[in-house]
Amino acid sequence: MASEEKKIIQILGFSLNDEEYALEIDNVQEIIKPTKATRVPRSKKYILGVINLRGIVLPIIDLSIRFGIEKTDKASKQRIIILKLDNVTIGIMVDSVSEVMEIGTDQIFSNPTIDSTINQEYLKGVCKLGEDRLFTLLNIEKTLEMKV
Amino acid sequence: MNMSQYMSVFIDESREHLQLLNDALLVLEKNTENMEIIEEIFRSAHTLKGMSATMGFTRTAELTHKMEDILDQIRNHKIKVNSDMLDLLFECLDTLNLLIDEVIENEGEEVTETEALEKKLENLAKGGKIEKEDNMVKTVPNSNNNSEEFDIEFNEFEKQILEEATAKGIISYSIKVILEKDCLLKAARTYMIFKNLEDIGEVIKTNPSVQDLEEEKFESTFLLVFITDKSSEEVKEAIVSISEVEDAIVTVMNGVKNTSNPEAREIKEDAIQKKEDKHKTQASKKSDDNQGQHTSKPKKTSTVRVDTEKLDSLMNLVAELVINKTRLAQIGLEYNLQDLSDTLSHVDRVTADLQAVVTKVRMVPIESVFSRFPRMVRDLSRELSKNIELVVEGKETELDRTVIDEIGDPLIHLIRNSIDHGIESPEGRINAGKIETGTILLKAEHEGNNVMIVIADDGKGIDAKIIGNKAIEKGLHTEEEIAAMSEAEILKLIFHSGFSTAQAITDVSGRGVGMDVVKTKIEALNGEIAIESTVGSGTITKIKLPLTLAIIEALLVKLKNEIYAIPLANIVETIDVMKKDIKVVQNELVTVLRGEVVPIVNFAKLLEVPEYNEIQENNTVVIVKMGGKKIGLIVDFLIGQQEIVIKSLGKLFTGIKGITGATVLGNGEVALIIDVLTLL
Repeated sequence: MASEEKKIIQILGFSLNDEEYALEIDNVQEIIKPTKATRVPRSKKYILGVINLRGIVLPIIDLSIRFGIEKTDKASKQRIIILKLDNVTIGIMVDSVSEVMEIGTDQIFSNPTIDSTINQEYLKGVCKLGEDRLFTLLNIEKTLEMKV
Repeated sequence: MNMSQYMSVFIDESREHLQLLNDALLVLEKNTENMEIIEEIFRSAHTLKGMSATMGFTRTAELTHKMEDILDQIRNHKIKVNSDMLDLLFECLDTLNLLIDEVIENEGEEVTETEALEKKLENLAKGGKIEKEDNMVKTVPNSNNNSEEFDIEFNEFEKQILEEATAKGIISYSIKVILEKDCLLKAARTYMIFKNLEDIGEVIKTNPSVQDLEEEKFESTFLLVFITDKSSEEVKEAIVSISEVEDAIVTVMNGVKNTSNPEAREIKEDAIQKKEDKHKTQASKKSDDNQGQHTSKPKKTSTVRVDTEKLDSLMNLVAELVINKTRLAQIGLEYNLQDLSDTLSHVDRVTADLQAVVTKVRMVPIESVFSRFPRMVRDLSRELSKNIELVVEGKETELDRTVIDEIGDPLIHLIRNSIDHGIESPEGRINAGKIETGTILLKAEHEGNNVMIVIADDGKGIDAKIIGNKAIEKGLHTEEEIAAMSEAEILKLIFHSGFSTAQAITDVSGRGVGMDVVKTKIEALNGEIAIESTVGSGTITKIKLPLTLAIIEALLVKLKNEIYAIPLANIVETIDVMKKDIKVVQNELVTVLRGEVVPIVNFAKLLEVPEYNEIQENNTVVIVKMGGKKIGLIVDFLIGQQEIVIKSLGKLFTGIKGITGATVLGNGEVALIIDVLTLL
């Protein structure tokens, strides 16, 4: 990364099972409180179902199940992050949303040595914020690129 | 100057102008003297030229410019409209369409060569004949000082030689040789003529035949068809130099350019014109009533172009407004707010109107589909040498654009079938005691909440016997089964996959993928198709389509806490079935419904509903059609019938069997719509 020009990007931090994650804010359309999703029979387990967002029916993905992380029940703080990718609008269910941060691209370490339960191809890297906060930066396009 | 922002406007407008030109040319073909139409065509071509030149699309501009030259001459009565010219103009339109496609695909680059067409147009503008492949079966009447007419029939091989010759730029002559009346050695003279001619070219055909000529079985004149690169003078010289030859009349045959005999050419053009007029009077006998309609100016409607996505989102927003309004009304009731309730009744009316308008905006006249058929029928009937009149009725009938987008292909297929298999050749029709010109009727009309599209031809009809035999041949049915079927039932067999009754595979239709594809497509649109046919008098195909695909009638059912919508079109009936009436046959649950064995499925179990109910003492069963079969779905509760707005589930869910989409219920929740055909 050192050879590349340093840029400032905005990321949205959220948590899954007490771990902190982040994704680039460009894809985020909005954040909503969980609403009752309609289960879609015969679909993958990590698809919680579909919801109605102002007349548009869109699927909700449970990232914990997607990444095979053990699920903790944090219903009161749970949020759905609505993402707009290319031509699909999709929601991801997270345990809580923390904040929007600005980080320099030089703070992203693309080849993390830390152990992760998540498949490496879903990750863009790990970013360090301050002294002790580490965010796993998701490659959200890759994460949601899936077949039923 | 950046042109890209004008690109979409250019493309839309050019398409509009090309369609206008196409329609206008068709009208012109029916009435070549219609000056108003010529003006119309000229204006459209002119606009197109201006637009494309501004955008820097030189080929489009050049081609339209050359077209304009021709049109200008027609307008000023310098040249007359004939069918070759119309063919060429139609060809130009096709090329222009192609160029515009390329402009879209290649970001402004035109690929197709237009030079050849431009050449042809230039020749035409200079007053020359169009250079075209000569597939005229008969030579045109001889001209000059001799009024005697002659006909020579060519076989396929001879025609091919003539065509090749024309393509190579070799001239075809028809020669009338007149020997002196008291010529003694006619056979010898003929031999010498042949010998001289063979030195400079090739004799293709004689009338009478060569054998007859050798046996002197002719009076004093005979005819020759001769190809050579020499001029008519040189040909004439080669013949008249022989003694006892009184004269030789050398005429350039039709379809050959660079003739040195302008007078002959003109007469030929007249002859073609006459032939067409004759053809027209025959064709117009039946269609006199439509003529008035055809000659009328193509109607221009002023429109605003809206991206269809915007219409969809508008529809969504209106639906959302309706749902939120319902919520507000509930709050008004809960807290007993009379003022809020009063205001909401106003809002209610406004949203109802709004919804009606938005639904209407999505409706498109079926004209946008029908408009391509006159041209298609014209081209195909020329290709197959059939005389066919297309009568279009009810093109203003409106349908949802989602239906419009899908209905084109099935209709093309059906009309092609009518042209290829339905309408007979002109000779065949005369033999059958019909008028030479066949008629295809294409009609659309509203019928309740549906649109009925009828395609009727007065052709030879479909023979149920042939269909039956074919079905036996293909092993679809046994002889006994066919014998037991009614004619109508046998006709339905043509919707079976892999069924094609065309005797020979032609370019038009009959490749074995036929009516079954049409049927599948229509059914996918929640429509129905039926066919009626009488041998000798024609075939009628009726297609029934829902007005819109966006809103359907559905039955809402409850399975535990989940709500599903089953399209009403798939439902036969709902019944109550006692547990004791459900039997197990080969591991499957069935019940007997009025003597018919119907499989029963626990719907909740099938859809993996959490904690689904087992079969109760008394069960509510929805009987649905699945193809030809009936299946009973056990549900917990029937909520009721209602109109639902279909929404796509999106890419993530494509391929999920049994679910076709979703709809938003009054409480804002999503209910899934069942796709009965893929459920099991």
